[in-house]
Amino acid sequence: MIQFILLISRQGKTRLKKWFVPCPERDQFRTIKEVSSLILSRSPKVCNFLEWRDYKLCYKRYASLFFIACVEGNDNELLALETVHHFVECLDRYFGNVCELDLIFNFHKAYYILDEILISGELQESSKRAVLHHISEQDAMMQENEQAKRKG
Amino acid sequence: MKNVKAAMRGAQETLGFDSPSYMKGLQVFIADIRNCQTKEQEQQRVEKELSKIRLKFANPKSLSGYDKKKYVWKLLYAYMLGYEIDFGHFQAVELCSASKFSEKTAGYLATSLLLADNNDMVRMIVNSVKTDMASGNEHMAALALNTVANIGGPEFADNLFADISKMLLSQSALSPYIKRKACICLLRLYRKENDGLQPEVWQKKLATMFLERDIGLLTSASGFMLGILEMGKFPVQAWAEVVPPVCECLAGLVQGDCPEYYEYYRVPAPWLQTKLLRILQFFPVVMFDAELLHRLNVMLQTILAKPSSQRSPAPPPGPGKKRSKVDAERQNRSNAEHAILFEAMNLMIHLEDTADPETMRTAAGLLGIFLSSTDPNIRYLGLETMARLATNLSTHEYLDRYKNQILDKMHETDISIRRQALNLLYALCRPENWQQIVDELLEILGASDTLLQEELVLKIAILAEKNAPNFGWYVDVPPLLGIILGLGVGGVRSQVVFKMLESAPDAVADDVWYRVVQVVTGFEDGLAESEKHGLQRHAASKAYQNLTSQRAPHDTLLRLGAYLMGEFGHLLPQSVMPRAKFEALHRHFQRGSQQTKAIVLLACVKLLNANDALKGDVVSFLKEIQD
Repeated sequence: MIQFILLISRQGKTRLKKWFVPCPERDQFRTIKEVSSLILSRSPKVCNFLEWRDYKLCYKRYASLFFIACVEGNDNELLALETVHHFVECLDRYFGNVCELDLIFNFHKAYYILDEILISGELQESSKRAVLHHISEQDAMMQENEQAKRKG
Repeated sequence: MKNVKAAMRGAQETLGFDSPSYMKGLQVFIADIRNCQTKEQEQQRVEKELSKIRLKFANPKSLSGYDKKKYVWKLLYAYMLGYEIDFGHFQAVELCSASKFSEKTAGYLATSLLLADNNDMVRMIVNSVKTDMASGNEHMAALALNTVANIGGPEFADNLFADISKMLLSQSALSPYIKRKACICLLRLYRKENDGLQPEVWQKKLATMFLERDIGLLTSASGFMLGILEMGKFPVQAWAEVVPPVCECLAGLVQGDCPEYYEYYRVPAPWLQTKLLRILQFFPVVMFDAELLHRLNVMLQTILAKPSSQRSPAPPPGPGKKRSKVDAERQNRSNAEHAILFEAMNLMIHLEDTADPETMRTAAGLLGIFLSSTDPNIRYLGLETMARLATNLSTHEYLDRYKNQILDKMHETDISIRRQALNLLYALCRPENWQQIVDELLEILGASDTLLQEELVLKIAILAEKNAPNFGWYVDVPPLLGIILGLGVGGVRSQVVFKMLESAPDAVADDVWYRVVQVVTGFEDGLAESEKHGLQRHAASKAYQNLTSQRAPHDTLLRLGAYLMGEFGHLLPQSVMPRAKFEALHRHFQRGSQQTKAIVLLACVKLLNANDALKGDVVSFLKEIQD
């Protein structure tokens, strides 16, 4: 299973982080520093996998952001990359040509979308269509509440 | 251009145009932080906000649901930036039982991000979770299930395993969407606390689930099955019932039978396919009857014999150029196809001799081609899989021809690939060819960087220990190795032996570890006193580490460790209490062979000799075993 997902900008700023195993904040901070510096210093031509502690880091750069998934030894690395890609595609569809700024100002939505793709470090939905359908239903439910609030 | 777009979106939202869950205060906070020029400014701004929120939370009566939600999101933003958030937990928990959906989502998400390892807080939301799960509103149930899946621990497991099981076991009309999430929840809870699962109930259920058509549900069910198999609590034969439906399901996918919206770049449900392939690897081959084996072989051959044009990766983009859309999509397809291919190879390796030899040859050939793929990921995985294939000695006749190509990979700039190449070379060593391979590794060692040097040295030394007919060979080379590592001859030797004891303990004959003792004790000439002490301390600390970290160390390791502790335990740092040293030996006493027990006993007495404080412990230990 995926242990954690990180989105890091090229300057090392965290744009999204989700741990699927319990990890105290201090350790999270340390891990992010360590992992960022390892990955940001890799040349662009090398493979997308890096052994780290007892795990593997599967990462891919999309424009100005690095998407990093930490997996266990027996997980399928290529599919980890594609899981990340699937997440990116869903974000892209939702925001319409997503960019880093979208994720900065709408980090809460990015978290909702992530929750429809990955829970407990496992992929739960590999159909983009289904993911976006559920997200739009959720958006509608939140909208109803807002409208009710304004009326009341 | 992108900035303009984002600004426009911001403007739209300010005007209130269709943006659910828009919170102006949050946007302002984020914008302020972005405008900070220095880290100090950012810290000030965040601290200011956190203090304000602390005050607001101290006055709960005046807080509306909307405000609570807004503040909790601000806390989450600060958390994401790396600030430690030690308050707001109650508010997050309260939001979980809100009736407004946007507030509920904030609550559950906050809980799963901030409170994952805070069991007391997590316990407080169990009731909200139960209510929402049973609410009949799919989205609320989904929120609850997401949270259980993301942070479920023992306190959830006790309460919820049975409830969530019912969602799958009963004939309820729950949607596949909810059932899918329920599966993953069960997987999570099972991993944390696995007493709640009744195999008789689940054997039938899982076998039926694999006959389902919904790909999403199948994928989650496969995940659950894998979790159960990985835990290994039940003998694998108990799950034999699932094998035929799993095989059936896989066969369909391999033939391309898959709804279009579950195709991923024209590959049918790659996640499901790999999971099914992995499930099959848990069952010993003897459990597969002839017909099943035949089906599996046919499937594997289909997967491996696919025309490579269908899965080849896109060429890398030119320097400074961005990849075209077509090429990018080709890359995704290639990844998905290769993911399945590598997993299929793993299954083939698992089948050992029952695998069709033709398939084996095809696999070896493909892996050979992958060595020179333009895609570094494929090179990496090709090397890794080839090493796995090489555990079957009969494949060496196909793999030896790639030796030179593999050696080339040791010169790649990518450390990941170099490591895999080294691993593979190590796997390809046999008594007939080890010397040649080691010679080549030694040459590489000279030109190697520090990252890989230590691994190289250890592997070379282990190969030498395993294969060298006498120690003459080894004695010649160590000065070279030792100088490079600055460890000295004995240091390298003892490190190697400890490493071997970890990975291949049966290969460590008595005379090997006697030799270590000789070297460490200092019968080897040429070492200065201070060097000897350093070496002895190093050996003792390695012994201590191994004895304390392993629950059931191998007998040989126990002997060597005990001897070293007895002789040199007094050199360990002050921070290691005498009691701890004694315990490190005592706890393993019963496990050892007669000869080992004698050594452990003597070592304990030597420890007493070095430290009177142990008198009580040692004497009672001696009395214990006298009877």
